[in-house]
Amino acid sequence: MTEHGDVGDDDRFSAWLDGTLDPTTAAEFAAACTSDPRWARAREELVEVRTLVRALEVAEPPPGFLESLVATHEITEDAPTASADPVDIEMARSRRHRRASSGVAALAAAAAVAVAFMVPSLGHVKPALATDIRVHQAGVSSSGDPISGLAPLGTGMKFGR
Amino acid sequence: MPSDGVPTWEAVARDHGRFLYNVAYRLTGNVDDARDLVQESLLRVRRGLVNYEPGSLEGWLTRIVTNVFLDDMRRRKRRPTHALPENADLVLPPSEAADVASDAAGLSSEIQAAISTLPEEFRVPVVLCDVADRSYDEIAHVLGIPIGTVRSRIHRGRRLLRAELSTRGVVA
Repeated sequence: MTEHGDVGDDDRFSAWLDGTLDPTTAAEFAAACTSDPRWARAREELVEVRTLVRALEVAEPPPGFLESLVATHEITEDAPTASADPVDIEMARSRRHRRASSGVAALAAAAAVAVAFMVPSLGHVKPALATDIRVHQAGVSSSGDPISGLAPLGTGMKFGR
Repeated sequence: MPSDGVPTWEAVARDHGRFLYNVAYRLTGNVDDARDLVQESLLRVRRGLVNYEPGSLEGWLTRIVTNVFLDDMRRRKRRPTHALPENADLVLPPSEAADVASDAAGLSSEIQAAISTLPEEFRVPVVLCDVADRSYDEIAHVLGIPIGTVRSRIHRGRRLLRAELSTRGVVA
């Protein structure tokens, strides 16, 4: 047993209070606390602080905190990348955004190609349309249709004058 | 819990989340850091469940939350601007939010503040022993130190804590 200095410095005190000393040593401590006021006081001081800490009530997490963690986990589990961790939500979101962007880009490219094919065909239409107008005008003049003859196709028409 | 004894992640979070938060709060001393600690711990739980061998689940969780806490403390030390002051006199009191949370839980903010002043080498063993109710053997295993060192740190931690509580007028 400690004979010099502060008896409270003996680290076996806490071990004794926590029941981790062997029976022989524990009995020695118990006897010393009974016979020596210094040991008794050191014991009381330690018991007091140990009791205070152990008596602390459970610190409750903020309302909804654990539920939100579980919900986040379930969301990521439902996603196609089921192995993703909760902290990978941002990465998953980024991947989804990249996929959406590439889809839009593909649609835009397809539209551009389609327009490129359509423009030459429109140019091809113009001469045919003009030819049709001339054929129509020729038909009108030969058939004597009075209505078509008043306003030949392809010419500007103004109303209200 | 499945028949193989390995719990699901959801079961761990729902059934042991309060335990994790309680330990985290005692270690960190404030709500925000406790939340971060629990979140990171549960992330490691998720990664580690595949290798979990049925046994003391709370012991396993204690090891995880302690390791996350110590990792974070080491990171803070590498970034001095975020490091906690070494001098106990310079330790800031708990934030108002922490006080409110403490009061709501019926916790004495003075005791929590006193715990927070302990250097981590003493704070962690005391919290693991008196809050998480871990044995000296488990604490030695968690911290990777001899059981004699655990005994010494718990005792010195309690002595320091008593001195701090005395300064605050909590104990005579």
